[in-house]
Parts: sequence; structure tokens; C-alpha cells
Amino acid sequence: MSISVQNLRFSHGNKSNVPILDIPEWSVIAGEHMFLHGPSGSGKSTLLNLLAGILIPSQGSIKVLDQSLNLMSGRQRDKFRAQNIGFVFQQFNLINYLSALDNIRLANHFTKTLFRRNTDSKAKELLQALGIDKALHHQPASSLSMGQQQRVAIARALINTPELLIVDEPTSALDSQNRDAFMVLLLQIARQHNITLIFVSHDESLAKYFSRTVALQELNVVKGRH
Amino acid sequence: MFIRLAWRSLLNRRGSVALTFLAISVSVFVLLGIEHIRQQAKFSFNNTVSGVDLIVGARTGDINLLLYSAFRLGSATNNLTWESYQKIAKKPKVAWTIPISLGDSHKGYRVMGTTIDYFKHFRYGQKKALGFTHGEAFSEVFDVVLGAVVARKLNYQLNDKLVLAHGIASTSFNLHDKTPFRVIGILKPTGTPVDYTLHVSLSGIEAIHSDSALYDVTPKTITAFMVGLHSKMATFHMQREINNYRAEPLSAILPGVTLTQLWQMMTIMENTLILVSALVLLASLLGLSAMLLTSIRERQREIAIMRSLGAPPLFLFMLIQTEALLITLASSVFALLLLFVSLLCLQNFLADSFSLSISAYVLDENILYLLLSIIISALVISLIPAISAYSTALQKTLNNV
Repeated sequence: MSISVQNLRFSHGNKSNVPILDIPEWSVIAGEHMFLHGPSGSGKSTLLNLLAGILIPSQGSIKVLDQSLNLMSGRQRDKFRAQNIGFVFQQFNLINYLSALDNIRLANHFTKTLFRRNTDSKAKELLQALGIDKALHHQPASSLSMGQQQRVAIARALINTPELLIVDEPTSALDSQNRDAFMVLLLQIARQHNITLIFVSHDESLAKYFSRTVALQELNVVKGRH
Repeated sequence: MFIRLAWRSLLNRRGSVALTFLAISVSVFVLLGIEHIRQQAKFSFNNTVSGVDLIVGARTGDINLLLYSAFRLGSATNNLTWESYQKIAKKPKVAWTIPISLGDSHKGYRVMGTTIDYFKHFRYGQKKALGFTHGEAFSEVFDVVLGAVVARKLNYQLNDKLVLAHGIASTSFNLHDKTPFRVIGILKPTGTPVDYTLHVSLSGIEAIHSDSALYDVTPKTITAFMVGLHSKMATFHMQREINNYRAEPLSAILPGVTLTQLWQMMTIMENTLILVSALVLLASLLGLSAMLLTSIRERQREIAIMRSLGAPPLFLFMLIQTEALLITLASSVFALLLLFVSLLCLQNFLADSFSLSISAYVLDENILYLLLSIIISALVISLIPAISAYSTALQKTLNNV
């Protein structure tokens, strides 16, 4: 099982009696490509923070890749996230003043030493495979086009060969042509590396690319609070 | 990767970083400069006289007597008679004496009338004797022995003739041009006021000031004299004896004790200078801290991205500390270079104006300790933005990306 959630409740510390999320049970099997959708404020980002181990649940348990995030220390969760979970965000969010290669190296920096072998050659291979020319490897991220940044962000998410890839609203800034190209590329990579994919978006038209579609409102028993 | 990230991050904010760099550089330059000159001045002064038990002059302040007799700074208010000098010099406890007669100059350099005993008994540094690069000590009335710097600066060789001037101003209208002196010797460099002095015999001094052609060159007065005793135990007794000398009012000082008094007087000024420069440095380091703190406000998204990549809050804390360290190190290196170049340029001025031999090589144990404390202070002050980065990192979620 890639993700297993049991009796998960989350509320902010100062409003402990007002839960934002209440998910009795939810699971994602390894290698599954899931489309998770819901309106703004439905708790999507909170769920992603919980899956990433940045937030910890108020009650219940979250297991990611059979590891219980609740039982880990903050440092262990950071390490676990670095080694096992890849992220691609809406604005691709590279660090502008770092080169394409350095952005990827940085993602590898937070893993165990064992994972840091051959980082450069692996990063270059990934960039080449994603169609980023060698000449652009040392260019600052700010000088790359939107499409190039998108590919560098995917390479960064894949550098540690994660078992779980979380993709959050990555197509909202793209036109339909680029959006379709991105979806094809992403799913191809996920299949190729047998990665479990959680794709979060409010755009339900993207559901066609996925084998399983889940509306967060169906999982979350807390209604009408968002 | 860590250092590269910190470096690139600083380059990305090069405007504010450059200003902070300059502010810290200037304050480190001032602090190190004051400390270096203070140390070098002490070293230079302490090295000037060695092995002299007493310095005797006409009644005056101890420090004034030391300054004009040993360091050629300032002027004597009065002279002492040759008879008094001879009486004291003949006392059984006295091993040797060096009479000194000051008041003339040559192109801004002081002329000192003395006897051959000066070359025999005068010691500097760690009891080093004077040595000659060329020639020998004076033997004739109009012979002159030049200090190393005088010979080099004025480009004098052996047997060159030169004319002394009355008074110590660099330009004098009262030249003793009827009685030129011949360069008979050039001393080895000592790093003391000796290098900036022209040495002539007391007879020479007497001769140029005499109106008669058939002069009697026996000195009538001298400015001061240095005394070496057979036994150190007799020093205080001898000092008391001279201070109570009935024939004329005299002062006898112990050079080491008077130098300590001089440093004690200078301590307040030194401490004030160090305090002011330390406060300037503190202000610059607070500027560094403010700059880094502002940068954290601008880097909220960057911090959130790093958190999503698995960066622990401690990484962000260390990143800010590394940035502070890089700026402080770069500023310190720049300040050291600036100080080195400035001292190279000012060396001659300090030597000519204050008889201070200041080395341009600033790196010594004290300066290294000072640099270490500057770096530690920078890291301590940068704890404010570093802790802010740490707590920001703890609060950042994927929502902030």
C-alpha cells in the first residue's frame, strides 16, 4: 500500500474543536495514478501537507509507503520526504538564482549520503531525457522558459527516484496545448518509473488521464466548513 | 552544495550585500588598524632603548625627558651643565654614560651630539649594539655618522659633505654653512629613531655654535645623558641622589618605568579608540543582521520550496549563519588587504612624523584573535535572523509554495 489513512482528523492548534479534515479511511495502492479534485478550500493542500509530513494529524494515523508518519520525529519526516516523495507545484517553483542543475542537486542534498552518489550524471540524464539541452543546464532557472522550468521541476521531483509523486495544480498556468503535452509527459514518466501519482487539481477535465478519480468531499466527512 | 547555495543567494541580493560588505570592511579596517598601530607603536617604543639604567636631564617631567632624549620627540626646556654631567659620570657606581646634545637638524632630521661612548654602549631591541653598514664612528670634529634612513632618503654616501641647521624645523634660515660635516659612517637599520638621526661629536656641536675661529670645543652644556650602572641594585639610590643634586635641578628617570607611565596615560585614549571602533563594528554587524532579516521576509517562498524538498529548519538556520560568515570573512580579508596597502603608503609618513617604525604586515597572533572575535560576534548577532529563518521554516507548509 502506498498511502493508508485511518480515522484521520486534523484541526489547527488554536481551533482544536473545529476539524478541517476528517477522513475515516482512505488508501492508495502502489503504482496507482489518482486524480484528487475538490473546490478551493476543500482541504486539498492540508491533506498534501499531511501526506508530506509537514503537518501532523490531530488524531488517527497516516502511513506512507508503509511508514507511519505519526511515529517519526520532525527530522525523520524531513528525511523521509526528501527520499521518498517528489513534488511538482503550480508555478514549478524552482529557486530562481540557482541553475537548472543546482535546483536538482539541492533536492538530492537532503537525502541520505547513500542517495547522493552520481547525482550530477543522474541529473544530466534526467534533463536530457526531458529535452533540456546541455547548454541550459547551468543557466539560472529565471532565464528558462515556462516549459523548460516545468521540465526541470519534473527532473527535480524525480532525482531521488521517489515512490510517491505529488503534483499540485501544475497545469493551471498552461494553455490547453501545453497542458496536454505536460499530462502525457508526466504519466509516461510515472508509468516508466512505477511511481504512485497523486494529482491534485480543481480542473475536472483532467480526470480522463487517470485510472482513479476521487473527490475530496467524498473522503472528508467535514462538510460546509471551507 | 551548501556553500554554493549561500554564495548564490548572496549574489542574488548583490546590492544590499555590497553595502553591508563595505560597512563591515570599513569598521574591521578601523578596528584592526588601531590595534595594529597601537601594538607596533608599543613595540617600536619598547625597542628604542635597552640596557640604559637612568636618563638624566634638566629638571622636567619624566615623560617629557624620556620623549626628547630617547625618541627625539618634542624639545628640552633646559640644558644641564657639562660640570654636573662630569661629576655624576665619575661616580663609582656609574659604569658608562652617553651624553646627548640636541637642538640642530639637517633637512628635517634631528642632529644628536654625543661621544664615541654612544657607539660602544648604546643598545636597542634585545640589547643589540649599533653596527655600521659603511664607514666607522666619528673621530674628527666635523665628522658625521648617519642613521640608515637619513642616508637612504637623502642619498648620502661616505665622504659627502653636509651642512647642519640651527633648530629642528625642516626648513631653516640659520644654517651652519661655514662648518660643513663629512659623512664618515652610515649605521645599520635599527627600526628606532636612531635611523632618523645624524650623529656628530659634542665638539662638533660646540664648534658650529662658537663665534671664534680659535674655538674651545669643550661643551658647556648638554641636553641629557644616559647612564649605565655597575649594579642594577644601585639604580634607585642613584636616581634619588641625582634628583637631590644641589648644584642644579636635575631629573633622573628609569626608562622602563617612565615608558610604563606613558602607556598608562595612553590607556584611556587607547581604550576610547578601541571602544569607538568596536561600536562602529557592532553597528555594521547589526546592519548585517538587519539585511539578513529583511532577506528572510523576501524569501518566504524559497524557504517553503526547501521545506518541501526535505530541508530541515536547522538547514535554513545554518544557511543564514553561513551567509553571515561569508560576508564577514570577505569583509575581513578585504579590510586586511586595505590595511596592508594603507600602511605601505603611510609607513614613511609615520616614520618621518612620529619616529614610528610600523610594519605593513598586519597578521600576527593578536590580530588573528581579533579577527576570530569579529567572526564570532558576527555569528552571534546573526543568530537573530537565523532563528527567524528557523521559526519561519517550521511554519511553512506547501500552501506557501
